[in-house]
Amino acid sequence: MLKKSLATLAVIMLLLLPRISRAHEIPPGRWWHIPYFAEPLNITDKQKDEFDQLFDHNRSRLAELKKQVEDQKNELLNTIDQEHLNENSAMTQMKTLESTRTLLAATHFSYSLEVRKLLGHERFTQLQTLYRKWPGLQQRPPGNAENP
Amino acid sequence: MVEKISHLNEEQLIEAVIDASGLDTSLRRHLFECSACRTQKLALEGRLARLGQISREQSTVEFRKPEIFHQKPAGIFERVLEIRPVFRVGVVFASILILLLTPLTLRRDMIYTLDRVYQEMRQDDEFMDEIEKLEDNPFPRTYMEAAAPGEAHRNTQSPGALNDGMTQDSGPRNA
Repeated sequence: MLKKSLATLAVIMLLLLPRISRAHEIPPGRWWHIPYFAEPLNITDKQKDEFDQLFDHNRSRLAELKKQVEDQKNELLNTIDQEHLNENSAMTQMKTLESTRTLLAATHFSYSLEVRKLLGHERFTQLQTLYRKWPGLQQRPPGNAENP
Repeated sequence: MVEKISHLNEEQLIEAVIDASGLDTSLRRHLFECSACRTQKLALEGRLARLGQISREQSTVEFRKPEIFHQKPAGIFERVLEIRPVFRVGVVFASILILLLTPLTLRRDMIYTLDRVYQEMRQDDEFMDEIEKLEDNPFPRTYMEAAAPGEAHRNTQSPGALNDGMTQDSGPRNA
């Protein structure tokens, strides 16, 4: 009974984890070009360039890894869909997929770390607060409706 | 019948030195073939050269042929600049304008307009959603569900669920 409850809780946690972790994340895209974020955080032009470089590099790497994960997943599906299952091949492909997935997660995480490094602790916390209060992409924050 | 030609006389030699094309073809051929005539022609050219040298050395500066320094002809661009100095100002102005319009000097807020940033944010949000889904679990769903004890029971009872899962998982493969 206890085991079943714990398993159910774990499943619920797993389902909620992406949403929970997402709530603490930094805004998507080039948020440093939006005055709502840039002005209170005092983002300088030099820092904007650094953020641009970081963003471009990270997203291109993530796109590469995403493609790799999808390809490896399809390869694994092909292997296990065969009538005569090659268990060794399937396990090898599963391990390859898992290592690429780990790399994908690490690349994603490293982006957050780099942003944290560039901003420093105080401003990073401020960014998270601003993001939580942000009306979102659908509703532009007041005063930012028009282009600069 | 081969025509026999005698050596060139003094007049013909002088003509050969000044302008050989004025000589008759047979005489030119003879001059080409005859070493004695060629020697005489070379000696005459040498004497004339020495005579010219002596006259240049002995004549006063006033009577010397003025030397003209030939400058390398200027290119079209330089000639245009010489003729129209206003053009020079125009070139400088155009260069500054080009420099100002290069991406290096374009203002950051002109490149990243809010519309563009918001549009990219939406795209990035969707992209990161996909990344997070793969981070959470990249493995084929059907097989992962089958591995869980609770799910295994459900799958045993309803084989249709397995097929549904397969269809979902094989989505990207067919894409």
